[in-house]
Amino acid sequence: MTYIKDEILAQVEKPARYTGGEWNSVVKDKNAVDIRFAFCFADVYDIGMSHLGYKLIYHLLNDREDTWCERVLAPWPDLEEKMRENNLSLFGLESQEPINDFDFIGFTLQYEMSYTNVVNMLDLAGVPVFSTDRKEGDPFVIAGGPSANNTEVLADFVDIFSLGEGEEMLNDLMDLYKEWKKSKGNRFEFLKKAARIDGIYVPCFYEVEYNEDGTVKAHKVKEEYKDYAKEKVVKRVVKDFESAYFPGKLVVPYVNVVHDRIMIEIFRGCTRGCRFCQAGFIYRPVRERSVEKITEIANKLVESTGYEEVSLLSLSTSDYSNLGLLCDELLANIEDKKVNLGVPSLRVDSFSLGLMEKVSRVRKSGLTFAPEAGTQRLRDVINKGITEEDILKSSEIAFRGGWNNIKLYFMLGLPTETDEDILGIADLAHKILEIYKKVHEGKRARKPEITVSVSTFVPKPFTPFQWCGQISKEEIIRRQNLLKKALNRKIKFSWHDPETSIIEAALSRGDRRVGRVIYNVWRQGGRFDAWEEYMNYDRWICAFKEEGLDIEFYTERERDIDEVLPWDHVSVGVTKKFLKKELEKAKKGETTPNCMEKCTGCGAALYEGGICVDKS
Amino acid sequence: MIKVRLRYAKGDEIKYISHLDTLKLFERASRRCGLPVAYTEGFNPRPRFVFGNPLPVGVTSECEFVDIYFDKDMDPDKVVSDLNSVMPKGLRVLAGKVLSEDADNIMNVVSRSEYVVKVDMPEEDARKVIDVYEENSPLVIVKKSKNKEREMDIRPMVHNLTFKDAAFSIVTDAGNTSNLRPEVAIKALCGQVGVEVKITGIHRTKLF
Repeated sequence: MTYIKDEILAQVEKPARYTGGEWNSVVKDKNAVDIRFAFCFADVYDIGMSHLGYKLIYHLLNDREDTWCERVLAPWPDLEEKMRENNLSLFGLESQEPINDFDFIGFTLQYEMSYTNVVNMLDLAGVPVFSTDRKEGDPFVIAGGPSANNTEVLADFVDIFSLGEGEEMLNDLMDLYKEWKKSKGNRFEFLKKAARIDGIYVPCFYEVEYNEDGTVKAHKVKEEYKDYAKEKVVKRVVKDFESAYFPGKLVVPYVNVVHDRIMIEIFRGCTRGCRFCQAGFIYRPVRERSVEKITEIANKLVESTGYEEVSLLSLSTSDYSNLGLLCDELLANIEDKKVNLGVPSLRVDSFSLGLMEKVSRVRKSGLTFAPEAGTQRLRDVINKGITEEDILKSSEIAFRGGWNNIKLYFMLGLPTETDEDILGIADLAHKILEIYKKVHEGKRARKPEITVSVSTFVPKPFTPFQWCGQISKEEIIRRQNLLKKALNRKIKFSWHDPETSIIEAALSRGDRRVGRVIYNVWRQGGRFDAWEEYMNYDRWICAFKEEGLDIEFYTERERDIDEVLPWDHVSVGVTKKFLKKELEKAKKGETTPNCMEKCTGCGAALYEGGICVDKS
Repeated sequence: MIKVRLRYAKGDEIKYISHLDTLKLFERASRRCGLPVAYTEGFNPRPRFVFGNPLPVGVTSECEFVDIYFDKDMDPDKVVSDLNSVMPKGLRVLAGKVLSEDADNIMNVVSRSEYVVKVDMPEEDARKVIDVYEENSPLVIVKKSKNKEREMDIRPMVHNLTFKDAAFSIVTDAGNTSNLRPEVAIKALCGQVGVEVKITGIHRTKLF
């Protein structure tokens, strides 16, 4: 029986999002488990079910006999409306039961714009949204994922943060919980013990003092909790990635989701160190899986899911040490089962084009490049190890190989950007257009489709640009217009909504006080802010004002290099000292070699894993 | 090349899975159990399945059909059991039989469909509906397409209507040339009689 009755399901879009029962979903006897875990993704089913990490942790927890982990996705507003009308509460897809008496409600935080949904889901679940209001018997609210690394913005709502990679940490936490539950201890005792686990941060044990100018004066452990809470919480990593948990099966959704295929992580982390990129720093050290292991996983998953495509997942596929061999091996294993291989986020060179021919006979539709900046000067500032020559050469190779569709990604508002850099984007696009003409000179050819797509730079914690200010809304619009005017009409231009980037910036580098703003926005009806049709900029601006906070303090202000940052109590391995050095080098336009060429001492070597060990 | 015609049931658990998603479900299930389905030729080979009439979302059924093509001889019972071992709850393959490759397409052999439509209404009202149906007078509905509305007599598309145990049994046109959803007919008839009806479930029982 479904928790939401037919009468309502018949009235909402895609009812199969809510009915569960998918192949490989895990149903257990609730009386035979010790722990019930509601694993929430603060977005709609189609997005959450596209996320490998979400499925991975789901199966990891369910592989424990003592735990039943269920998926809980945010109901789309059409269903939420009906749920509230009919007093229905948030439920687990597997049991089709409300989650308010589960042991844990866990969130994976993938992007900041989903924070209003986090609050909304807690409320829909019938669980007090503020951590301080939860009583004995209420579930523990736990959060992890990349956005959790700046813990403070959601500190008021979350009981326990798990920082870094969850594979081992969650098992430690579940073991501890089971023991605690047996001992019939109180809530506080569990939190105390949990805080001792590496990578676990319990925000209520800490207090924040502010300076008169609003900056953080100190973030410290409250005197009475000194015995269990750590001053500095160091993120967890799985040292041995080769043997790291990977499920032998994955839930196969019925309805179309964004990424509906087998995804296999071929390595974790990125060697490159582009200075704007948070993922490039927080997932260090770089750790690879072997060709044999990946092939083994692929074979197992093809059999258990029946999917028609295997896709390789990483931050930069071309950096895998033996990509040619990997693809050959995989193809040899899956091709006769009529399974396709997808190899996304490749750097374009003759090798990768050959590879693309081999792996996908269909898609000649689009190639993407991410130069990120229009001039060499600025690309050096951001340490994007790519030259104009690389880009032009790659375009020529692609055009000669029959591609006519190229999409170029750039960011506007990067630190030190001038109008010259912006016009450089247009120049680069025009040069690519010229190359297309040259390649097809005198021949009949399809029209080239060149797209320039610009987003707005959002400074992120744990990057060398974490101290930099974001440009104002007016300035974003001026720069977008400048570029629009400079571009040849034959080039398609697309841009991100500046308002979303501004809110994202405020949430990304917010402190504990920003939680009040999120609560305020949610109270005013804010949810699904990652969706342009639901994001309401004025509501956010108004909420900042009402809470007595200045949004520009978080977005546009350049932070003093010695300022206490709201996330200084978290270590992701990469040290603040290294990030400072990188910022200095950025200002001078100096580049830093990638981990493959030379170790630059970022700090991730403390984990004694992956490339940090292999290279030395 | 042979084809195996399968009859399958769609239960409550998967009644919200659309026709296209059901197709995908069969493709993936076939791969899970290693069924050697024939593929189409060409640039983008697809497994050769031919499905019968789409079942509307929200409707359950015990008579859905699919033809699966194979390059070699297959034991239809084994196809049934193999598929059932990898099907999610709510989907049961009920029977299979081998047909020659040139046997008529499943889409072309079906012209009518029988449904059981569970309703919440007084029996007295339901009797009135049956009476009106038996009068055999025109049953006109307004059909809306993109920007025009047109009137249409659907009475010739309804072939049988009975009432028993709080449910109508109804036969309507189903297929490529003429197709009528059962709830449309029942709502139209109730409208004609002037009684309220709440449909609580629709189940397809037969295709012929």
